Amino acid sequence: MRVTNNMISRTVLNNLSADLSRLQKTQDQMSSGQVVSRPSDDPVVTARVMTLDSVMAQHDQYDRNMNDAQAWLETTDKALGSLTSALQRARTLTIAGANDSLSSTDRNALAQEIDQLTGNVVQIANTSYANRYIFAGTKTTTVPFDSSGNYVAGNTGTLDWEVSQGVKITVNIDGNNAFNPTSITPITSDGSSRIFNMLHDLKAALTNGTSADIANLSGKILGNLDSAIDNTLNLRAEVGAKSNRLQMALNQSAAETLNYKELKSKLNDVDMVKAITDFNMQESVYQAALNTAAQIIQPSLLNFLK
Amino acid sequence: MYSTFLGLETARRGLATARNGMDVTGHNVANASTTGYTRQRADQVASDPYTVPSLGKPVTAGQLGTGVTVEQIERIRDNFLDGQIRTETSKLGNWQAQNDALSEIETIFTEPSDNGLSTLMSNFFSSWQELSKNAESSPLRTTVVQNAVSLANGFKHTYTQLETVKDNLNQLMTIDINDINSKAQQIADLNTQIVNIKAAGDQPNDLMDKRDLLLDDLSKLTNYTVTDHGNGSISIDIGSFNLVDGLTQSVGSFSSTDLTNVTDGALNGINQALTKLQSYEADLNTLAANLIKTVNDAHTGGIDLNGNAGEIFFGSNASTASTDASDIAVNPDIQNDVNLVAAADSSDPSPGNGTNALAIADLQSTLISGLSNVTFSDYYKNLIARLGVDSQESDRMVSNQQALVDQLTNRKDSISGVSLDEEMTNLMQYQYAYQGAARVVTILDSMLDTLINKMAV
Repeated sequence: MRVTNNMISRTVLNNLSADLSRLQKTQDQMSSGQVVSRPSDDPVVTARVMTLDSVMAQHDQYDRNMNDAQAWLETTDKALGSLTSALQRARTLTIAGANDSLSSTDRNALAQEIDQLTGNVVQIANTSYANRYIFAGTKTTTVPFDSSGNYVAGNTGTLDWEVSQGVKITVNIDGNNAFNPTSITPITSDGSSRIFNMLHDLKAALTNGTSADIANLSGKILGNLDSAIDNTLNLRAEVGAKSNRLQMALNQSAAETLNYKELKSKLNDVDMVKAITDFNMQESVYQAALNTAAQIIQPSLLNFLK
Repeated sequence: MYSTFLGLETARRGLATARNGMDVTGHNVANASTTGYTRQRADQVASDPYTVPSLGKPVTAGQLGTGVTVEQIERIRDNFLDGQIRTETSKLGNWQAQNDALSEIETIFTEPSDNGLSTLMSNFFSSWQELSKNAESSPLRTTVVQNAVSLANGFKHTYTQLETVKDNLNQLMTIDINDINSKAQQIADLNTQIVNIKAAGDQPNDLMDKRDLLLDDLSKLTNYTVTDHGNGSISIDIGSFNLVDGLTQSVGSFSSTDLTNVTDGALNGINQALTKLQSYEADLNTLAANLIKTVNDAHTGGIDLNGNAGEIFFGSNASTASTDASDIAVNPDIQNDVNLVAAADSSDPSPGNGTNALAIADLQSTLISGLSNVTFSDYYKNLIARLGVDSQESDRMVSNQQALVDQLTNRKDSISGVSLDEEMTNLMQYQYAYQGAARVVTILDSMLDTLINKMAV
């Protein structure tokens, strides 16, 4: 084949620019750390990486939801725990009050403590978490119970949070559920939630101290108190179960997130060892090409004619 | 008996031919790197022999040579190769134009990255999720609105940039069409000159080089066929459109209405890129339109913090909903008062009710019938994947065609290119031929000197 000077310079130039563009590509990958920086680099990997990204974003959101739900449930659990202690203290006082030998002064002192306890329970019922009343149903911005235990501003709405795709969890226990269990039968109904009504009954019985009252103390009132404690413990069990379920889901989700990250990394992260090796090889090829180019373009017969 | 001075004439022809050859060589060397130049060669032939007109030829035997002459100065070129190169160059131009446009479009979508539309959509739906847990929170409502504004801006920005690329492509097309017309005129002019020079019996090598270069350039822009009329003139047709008439040298004015004749070259590439761009834009609009519609439907079904039914979420005002990516915006009422974000559903207008917010967040994983039953993000992903495949194909085709064109151009250069080594060798050859012919003149001179001056009469 007849070889002309133009052919040589074109071939040299083409090869040099091909070498250089390979170098640039490797350099690009090394500096960005990613194999794919535009869809045409690899459409399949691009689509998969985008899927993984959106799945991971959703996953992160569900993780946040679960963590928030756990915090909410924990607050509820604490509130219910305090309620249990208060009710148990009321029970102790009831049993003490039911003793025939107690003087009316002593009973009055007990009644005073019940009054304090009732105030305490109102406070528990109005517990807020991050400025939101947890026993108010969906009316989270208003104080649900008044000082005498009427459920004035709450409703029975549920707060349903999504913890994974299509799976919702009810995180709240409304005030009606927690403080107005139907298992309690108040002696004199005064319109307040049943637990408060019962505490009002208890205080009245201690204050009045008639023999019927004392009989009620060890009978109906004690029974109602036990029902209230049972109800609270049941609710706590429910909250605990939900919290456990969330903890398990969170652990599982953490494992899944790790899997996704690993997969994405496998798809799109640059293998640095390979990239550096490639880069060095391409660089030496480029230099060799430059060297030969310098030697091959220079001479012609002209250099050797006198 | 022949002339005493025949030898001198023969030597003179030798001198002239060697000079001629050297001139051609000089021309070749001078144009060694001129684009489109075809190397030339002085075709030497022995001139017609002289038959001595005498009866029975008593003195000399046979015919006597009369030296050398240059018959023509020839262009060394393979016309078949030209045709091949032009066909492949057209294809290269086609893919190159598409590749340029598609790369630009890829840059517009900036995927995969942390700031593409995909991420903006994720953020938008995530903020609804957050709000569903804390529906009364004003900061979270603001986040929802701000993320929605970012998403709307993302859509609009992408749309505007696609429109800009579209404008650029149309402009490029006009430039290319003008280029075709101007080249056609130049070719017609060259046709006239070539025909005239050929009629005078000369070879207009350099003019033909110029015309061939124009044809090479034209092949980057469009496909065409060349008809040679034999007298040096050529006709050019683009499909059924007559661009240059080689007989009358009239030039047809090519315009955008004649594009149906174009099946290759940059013009076709631009046309194809426009079609593809329009399909991406249509997809983007479909995605935006469905997002607007489903979010608006869900939002108007909810109750805002003031207890009223939700306004439309994406719109230019409370009564005009956005239509697609070109005009997507968040209802300014909602932007001004985040309490208008309808997080509650109609069953319970309490501030803590985030059921509707959750319903909107769940649209993220809902199969949308208007998007052939895929989710928003899947639809968008399909669009990006399609763009990626298109762009990758054009990438591959460009490098394939480039390799092919390079290889063919090398073959052409192998035939038509100037080799300096060869020209130097020729130069030496002509130099010695010249010296030899000059020596013949010197010897003849001394012979004639002897004959004319030294002989005593």
